[in-house]
Amino acid sequence: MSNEFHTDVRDELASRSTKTSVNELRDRGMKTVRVIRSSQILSLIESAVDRALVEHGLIPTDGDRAAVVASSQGFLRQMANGEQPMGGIDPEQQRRLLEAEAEAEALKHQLAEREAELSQAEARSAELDAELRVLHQRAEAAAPDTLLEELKALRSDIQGVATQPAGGPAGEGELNDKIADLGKELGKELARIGRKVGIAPAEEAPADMSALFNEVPELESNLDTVAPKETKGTDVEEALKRMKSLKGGN
Amino acid sequence: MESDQVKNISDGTTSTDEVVSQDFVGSVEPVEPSDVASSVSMSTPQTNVAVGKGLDIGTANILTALRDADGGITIRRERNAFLDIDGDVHSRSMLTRLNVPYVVREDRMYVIGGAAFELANIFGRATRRPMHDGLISPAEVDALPMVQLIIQKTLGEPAVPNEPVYFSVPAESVDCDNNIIYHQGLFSGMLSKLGYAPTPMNEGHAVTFAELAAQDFTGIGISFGGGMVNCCVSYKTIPALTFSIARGGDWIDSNVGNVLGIPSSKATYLKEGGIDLRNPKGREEEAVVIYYRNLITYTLDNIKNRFVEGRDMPNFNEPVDIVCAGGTTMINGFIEVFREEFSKQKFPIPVSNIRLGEEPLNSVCKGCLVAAISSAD
Repeated sequence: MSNEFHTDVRDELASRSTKTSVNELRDRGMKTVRVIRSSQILSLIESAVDRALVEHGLIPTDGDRAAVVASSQGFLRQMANGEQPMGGIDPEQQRRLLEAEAEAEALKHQLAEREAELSQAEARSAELDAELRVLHQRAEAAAPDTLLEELKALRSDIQGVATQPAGGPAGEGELNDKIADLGKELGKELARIGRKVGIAPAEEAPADMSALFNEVPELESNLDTVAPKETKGTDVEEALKRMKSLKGGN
Repeated sequence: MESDQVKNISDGTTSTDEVVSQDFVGSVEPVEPSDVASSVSMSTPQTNVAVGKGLDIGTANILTALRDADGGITIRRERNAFLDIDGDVHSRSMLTRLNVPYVVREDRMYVIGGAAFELANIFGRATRRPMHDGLISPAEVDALPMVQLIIQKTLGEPAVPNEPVYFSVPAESVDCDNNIIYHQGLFSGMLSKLGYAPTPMNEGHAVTFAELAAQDFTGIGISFGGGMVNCCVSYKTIPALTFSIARGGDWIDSNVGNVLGIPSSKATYLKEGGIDLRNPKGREEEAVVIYYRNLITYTLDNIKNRFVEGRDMPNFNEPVDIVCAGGTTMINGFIEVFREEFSKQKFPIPVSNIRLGEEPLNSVCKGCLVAAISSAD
């Protein structure tokens, strides 16, 4: 096997190396040169392989050795091809390599896009978190009572503005009307929220509407002559006594 | 067919109650509204009867309760409805002979009260209703003078100047926007002009005054009216929680009418025609039962929710009674179905007894009467 690889190594060295004449070397100022045989290089490779395998606790077989040497040859070949990449690769491998490189490039691009999307999602998530925190804070701060108080204050403000005399241009009166309407709507909404959360609406002074009945028109009717239907009901004496006792009477 | 139905309604009104006709103004001397004074005496000068009246201004009926000289009470009831008809001199005299109240306004004749209901069904028309969903109806332009006439007719003149009258008002609704302030102010103004000292009283609260005396006015009173259901949780006369639901007998009639393809007034006849909720016969009665059960469940759900949500609710040491009242409860089997639906609920407080009011239709006006007499004591 060593001979087989020896030939390969020698061929590789021959094909990858250049010949230089002694005169040329002398012209370059060199007086002596070091020389190594291809068999010695192969021997060195084999020794190194054996050592490496032993260090890893492996007893090298001929197959192992052959595989490592083949790999080393490949390495040497690539090293030698370093000055002219792809030069030594066959067209099929080159095509596959190009495809793989293109694929890797596409994957890189996709990765970049995904990273950008992830970054945007993280930013949005952070925004939502912030909004959620604000809402939580508002919810904690604005208990129903507080919220209703704020709405009441707002309604009062609006109504206050609406009742101010419109001394300016005609449009100001229209604006005040609209503000008054807004105040009424707010009042309705306020009452609705109050009902939803089980809070009684603000006590308002009872409206005095007796003026509506100041002028009762004279109507022709037979109400004075038609008797209403009456029935006897059960007594409420017991209820009155209980009521009196609760109020502290007898 | 129609006349039979009308007869049923008339019979239903009169057969269960003893009708005692008497003069509209009664035996007490009428007091002119202009004579209103600030002081209120404890009794009328003539009869020594305690002053104070209870007035139930309901969507379907208006009832007045007043105390008699013998300690009993008299209830005056009138349908809260009217009907405009073409009338002439002959019609007027005939209506008077038939004891049917009417009023002529702007060349139109209006029959008011229960007679309007009966005439509407005879002529295949719908009555006009001054109130809707427990409140004065904004859609009915003639509502105010008509309801005023009906109230005047049932309440009569005050026995003394500024006689206390407690009148029922609905509570804030949990499911609709209802302007209680306007409604309350309107009737306060009307009653003041009639010479009374009016005080509004929550309808559910009035039920507790009438029906929960033996429990020291502690418990839950529910008034199932025509336009609304009013609930009150009371602790020793104090209302801890009041609210209303914008559903009632009219809601049942309307929905039954829709599903059966008949007018609401026909559905009312059907409902009041002797149905037993425990034993419905046929598709029409089944429809009535479905909507009754739905109304009861909806009411119980709302009470339960308000107990859960409500703050400052009393902690009842003992189980409390639930009393149901109002015209909508007068159908056969109501309280049994109510108990059945209640048993399906996980109610937040212990309940010892569920019962109908002693006189379900009169409970609200009787509760208002108790409050009115007590206020004068």
